[in-house]
Amino acid sequence: MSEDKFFDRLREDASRLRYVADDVLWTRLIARIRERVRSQPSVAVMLARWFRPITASFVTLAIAAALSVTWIERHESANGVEAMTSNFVEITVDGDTYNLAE
Amino acid sequence: MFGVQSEVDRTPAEIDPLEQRAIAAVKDGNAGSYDYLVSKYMKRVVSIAWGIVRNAHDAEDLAQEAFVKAFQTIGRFKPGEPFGPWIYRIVTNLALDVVKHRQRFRHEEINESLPATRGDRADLPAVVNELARRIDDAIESLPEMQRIVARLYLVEHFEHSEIAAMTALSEGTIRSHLSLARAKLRERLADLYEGRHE
Repeated sequence: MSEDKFFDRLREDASRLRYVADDVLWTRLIARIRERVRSQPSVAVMLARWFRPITASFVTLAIAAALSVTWIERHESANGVEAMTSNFVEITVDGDTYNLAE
Repeated sequence: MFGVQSEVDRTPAEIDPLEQRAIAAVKDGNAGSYDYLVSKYMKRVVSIAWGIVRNAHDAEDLAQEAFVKAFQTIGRFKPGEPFGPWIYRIVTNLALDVVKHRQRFRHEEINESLPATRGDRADLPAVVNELARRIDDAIESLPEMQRIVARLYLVEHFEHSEIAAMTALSEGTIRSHLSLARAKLRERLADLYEGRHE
């Protein structure tokens, strides 16, 4: 028998070695795949999952920045009032100097 | 476990309009249309996986993984192409990964002088015709890649080019593996084939 003929015969006989199972197994497998596929997130959900932490980070940064600016502004205005009250104002008229704080 | 499946799903992949419609629907977000593809290819996908990993549970798990992976990446699937070769390639790659993992594990854990116990004999049916059992044993005795290529060619009836695409090997390498496998199988099955089928 030639090599090719032997292999052709073997191929014919070897087809009995294919995996077969009862319908219950196939039904169960198909149901499991269906369940997994349907629980897959949609593109919108996946995008939302990506953007949610990014958005949260930006919001946190914005709040921190706003609080910082508010604190700095308050601090500066307090300093300004203090400076105004503590500094003397001198007015000179015809060579005479008058101090308003006095 | 062993049996003869219909030849319908063994013919080379042709463009199936229902299949193309199902793929388009899945791409548009209709997951329910995926059922058609799963039902059409499930049996062969499990058979391919089982032929490589030789364990029914692993084969079923691999088939599930392959279909889920295909679903997740279906956006990249080219319209007009048959789904079969794509899902076969995915499941073959997953099954080859399992085989490689087992080899690495075996290499680390077991003394190399011990014979490899690759096949899960528990998955073989109690009553299998003698010819099928002899062929199965002969194929299983081949070195790993020869065994896998021989199984895809002899049992699953894939052509050289299809096996090359599924395993990411060149067609020349597939022919070489098959040639070596053929010589060994002929020697091991000489009593069954020499003279009997002439």
